[in-house]
Amino acid sequence: MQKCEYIRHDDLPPLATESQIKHVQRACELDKARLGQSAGSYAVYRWRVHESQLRGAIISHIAAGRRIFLKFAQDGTRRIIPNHLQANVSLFEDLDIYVEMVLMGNEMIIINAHDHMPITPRLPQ
Amino acid sequence: MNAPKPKESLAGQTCPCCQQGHFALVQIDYPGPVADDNPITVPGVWVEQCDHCGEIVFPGETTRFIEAAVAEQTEQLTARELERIREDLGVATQDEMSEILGLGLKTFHKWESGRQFPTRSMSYYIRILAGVPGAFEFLRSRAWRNSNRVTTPPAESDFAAMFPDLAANPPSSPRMANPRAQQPRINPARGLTRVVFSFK
Repeated sequence: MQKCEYIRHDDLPPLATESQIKHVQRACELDKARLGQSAGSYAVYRWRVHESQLRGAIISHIAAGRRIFLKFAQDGTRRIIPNHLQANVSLFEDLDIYVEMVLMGNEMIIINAHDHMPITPRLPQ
Repeated sequence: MNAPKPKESLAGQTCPCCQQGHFALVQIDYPGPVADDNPITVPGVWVEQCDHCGEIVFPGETTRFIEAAVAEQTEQLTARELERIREDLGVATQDEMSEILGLGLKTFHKWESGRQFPTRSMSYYIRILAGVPGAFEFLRSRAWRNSNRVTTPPAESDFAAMFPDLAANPPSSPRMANPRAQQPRINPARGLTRVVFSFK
């Protein structure tokens, strides 16, 4: 089994709030989740899953009580990007993926979804 | 078939990627890298595109339209189709289906969970089994193991034994109905039954 490294506890961004998690869950359940370009390419062509399976994986992630984090800006200031959430979601039994979501109105965009990079530490679940 | 236009649009909203541009609903020809040797382009799909960074967001209707186009192009069975076929054939578990088809124990489970996809040729094979239940039952019972063709030749033709439904309702082409009956088999070894080597 491939070894993986996780982000250290001190470096983790804050957890998403209860209302943000509810927003994600509702958007996934009510088919209000749109796919960004990377998420669409990975889902349809690499993982060969339907968009509904990706939404289902996010719903299962929430139902299992796994964590969803806010997202820091990439400039190293630890500034939180508003309405951007991220998680390490299990798409299949043996495949965890990185998912980044943006909350917009009553909808949501899965702006990024891709395999974990081998050299980049993962978010814990 | 034309791509469906989404009922709700993000047009005018700020792009969350660059935080500078705005989305507009546009139609594009979307290139789909289904396989290296089999690229497809899905024409005229509706997407939200940022006028600054060019990021594309697929509305749900568009995603489903692209999924359908890819499935049509590749002709590979999807997880849902595989589940439906297994249930229609009366097989209770995925492991049992794997065993009947002669696959690795967990292969059908991986296909049905969407973890892996059957090849196009395997998809054709499974479609035949789904469409001709007699063929599936023949496979399931491993009927060929029960026949000893040397000592007890089958009373009915091989074809009728293998595909009883098809034999009962033959298609229009007589060759398709029973190919062996129509076409005498030629023994390629005839005349070569005795070969003498002489060494001098």
